[in-house]
Amino acid sequence: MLQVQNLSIRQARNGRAPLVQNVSFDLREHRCLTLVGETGSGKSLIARALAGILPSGLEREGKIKFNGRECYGRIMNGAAGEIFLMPQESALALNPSMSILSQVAEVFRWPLGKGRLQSRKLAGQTLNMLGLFKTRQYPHQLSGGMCQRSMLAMALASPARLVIADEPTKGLDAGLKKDVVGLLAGLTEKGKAVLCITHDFSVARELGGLVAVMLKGKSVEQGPAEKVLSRPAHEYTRALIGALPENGLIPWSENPAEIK
Amino acid sequence: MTPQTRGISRNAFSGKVAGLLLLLVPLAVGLFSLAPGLDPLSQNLMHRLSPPSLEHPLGTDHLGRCLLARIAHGTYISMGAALVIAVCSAALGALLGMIAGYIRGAMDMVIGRLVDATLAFPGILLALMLAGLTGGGVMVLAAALIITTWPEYCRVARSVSRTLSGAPYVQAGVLTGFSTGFILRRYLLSQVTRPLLPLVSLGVGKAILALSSLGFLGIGVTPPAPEWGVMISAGLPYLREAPHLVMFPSMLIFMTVLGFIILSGQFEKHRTDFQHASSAKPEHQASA
Amino acid sequence: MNETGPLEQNNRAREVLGIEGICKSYAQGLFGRKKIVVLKDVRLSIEPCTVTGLFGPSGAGKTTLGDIALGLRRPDRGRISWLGRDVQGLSGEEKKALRPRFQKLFQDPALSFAPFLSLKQSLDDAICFLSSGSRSSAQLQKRMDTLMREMKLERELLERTPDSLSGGEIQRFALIRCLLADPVFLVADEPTSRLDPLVQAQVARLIQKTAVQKNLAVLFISHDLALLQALCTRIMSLEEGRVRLLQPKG
Repeated sequence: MLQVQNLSIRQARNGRAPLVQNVSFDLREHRCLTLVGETGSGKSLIARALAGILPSGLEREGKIKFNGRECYGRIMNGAAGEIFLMPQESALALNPSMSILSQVAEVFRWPLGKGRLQSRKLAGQTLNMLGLFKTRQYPHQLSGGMCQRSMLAMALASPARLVIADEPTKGLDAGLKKDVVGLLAGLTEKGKAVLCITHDFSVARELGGLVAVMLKGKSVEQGPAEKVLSRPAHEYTRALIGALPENGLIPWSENPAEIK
Repeated sequence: MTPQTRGISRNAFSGKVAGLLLLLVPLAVGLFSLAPGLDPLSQNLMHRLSPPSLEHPLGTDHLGRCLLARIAHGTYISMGAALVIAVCSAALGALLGMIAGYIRGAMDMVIGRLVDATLAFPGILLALMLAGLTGGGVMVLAAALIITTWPEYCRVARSVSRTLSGAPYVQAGVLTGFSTGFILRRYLLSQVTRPLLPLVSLGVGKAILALSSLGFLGIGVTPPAPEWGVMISAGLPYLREAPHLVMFPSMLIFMTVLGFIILSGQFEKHRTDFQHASSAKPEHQASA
Repeated sequence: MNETGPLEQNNRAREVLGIEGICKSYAQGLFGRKKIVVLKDVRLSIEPCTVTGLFGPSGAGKTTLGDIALGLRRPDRGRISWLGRDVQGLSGEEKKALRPRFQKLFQDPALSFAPFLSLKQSLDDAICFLSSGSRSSAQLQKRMDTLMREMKLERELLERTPDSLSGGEIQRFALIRCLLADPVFLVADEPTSRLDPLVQAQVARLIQKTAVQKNLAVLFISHDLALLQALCTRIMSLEEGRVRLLQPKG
């Protein structure tokens, strides 16, 4: 469904090395892909490029094909309405002056063209399904995990076939993290493709599917999650896995910048 | 640098230039007071209300005094006093605001009530009262204006200090045993000054207006002394025959106040740009 | 409560900091009518040379408890004791001498140091206030250089402001600032939650190593149980205002 070939992102009119360099991957329906990498590895930029909201001053090169059609330009002509981006910090991304019910209802009402009452009913059902019962609450009354779930409800409701989740587990504690990852996995069962961006390898393990490890704008390793986790090929991937608390919290003395 | 940011910086540049240029005019006029032979008090009743000429570039007033000389000497009184008033008022407000916001507790209560009381008291009335009690003068007027304008600065300083008192680096200082005075001076002062700067610039403009209006009302600066507001009120009866008597000082007041207001806007803009630049740092730049 | 009882007794002798019967609540609502109870009769004893984990969901009051232990906030009830003596009962002189020996590592690296000062200025301020009769500022300066070498921080970094350093570097500098005060008790309030995993492992292990080397009592606050399990000798959990022992290991 989504094919990315040799995607590079660079600062316009700037001779320096690109921020993202020759990244290629392939994402089909019912599948998920996790991009794992540290701050500054360019993973969020890829998400923004796919959603068509690259910051001004950055240019992209390479091909992005969505449903076999190539998308041109900054605003991803040809894929509008097909991609749903869950931004970082969903507590800030939700409209603070609308109850979550109304916000989810908007998704039913406008892209899907349902009636006003019907869309509210559907929105209520979707939220209940995700374990949110006080649907008239406003975002500030909700915890981080509940905001994240409201955002997921919108993703679930939207007709978009690709959901991009940028750091969906940021700032959540272990229990909530598991819930959110479980819900993301649930999205793939509903026929959507999920692109998950994280710096946390445990998310990749829970989510399964494909993993791409990013280092300094390049994808250093790609493969099925189980394989990458059990037999990591690249030194950097090994270090990342070893540094997870449950794997022994092994500090890595060398500077990641030194690895090519 | 993207095209948008370049546009912002150009605007900021032109704004600063405009503000400074406007302020240059009263300063240049003020320099004339140093010229020999320009006495603001020497009268020549033969040349009453004469229009601008080579001898008197701005004409003379109803007592035949050179208007240029009077305006030039008035710069010291109007602008100088206004600057002193704004700076003193801001310093007082900042100090009390920092104490209230950082130390909190009883100090906060006392200073807070003081702010409320001052804000509820009409400034002009206080100036009139003080002038009546002491016989007026610039010093009394300045004191009255300082007393009525500090709460504005105090409130801003207090809210900034209150937020900062919970900042990790301030807490770390407390844990290391920094004295309260040191924390106020080193950590809070610079952060409090930043939002106060545009307010001070605005305050100078306001003080000039207040001084002039009070001078116009006849309190504050006493007549022979050349103060812009006093000059306007003295020239008012001769508006028909000699409009320049009112026009020139009014224009100067207008330009000076406008200059300070534009500068204030620039300070404000600089401040928000700075905050924006330091808070919103996109990922791809953070890595660089 | 019951299960922690005997254990507390055993550890009394080693305890450097005791937290006893701490209660804390906040007023909320328009007229402060609503009372939110954060801590209910919290009891905790902290030993030197170990890392004690404090686990709890977000908003459970972990930071409040840490700040109370440090004396940054006043509890409604209860007492903090240092080597068995009530901290409130100390004389002014003793309090002043003890103050810098309770230190804290903060969650947000960006604000751990004043953003408008270079690191050198910030650290020099600390040295200036920490130097006293027994320790000259030259000695402290030397100490800082040694620590910087140990933590592999280059001198050139000192000239920069915090925004041009990485989170891991700032947290290491923050640890140096704490160590300069020769602390007995350190609260690490989620110091790694904003760091990348590789850096998290580095900083967390460094804190652990430091605790052993410098005979330091560390209270490590986190909402990541796996991290605490990898790091701590003892994990306490704070939930609904009460503390209970979650894991005594070994």
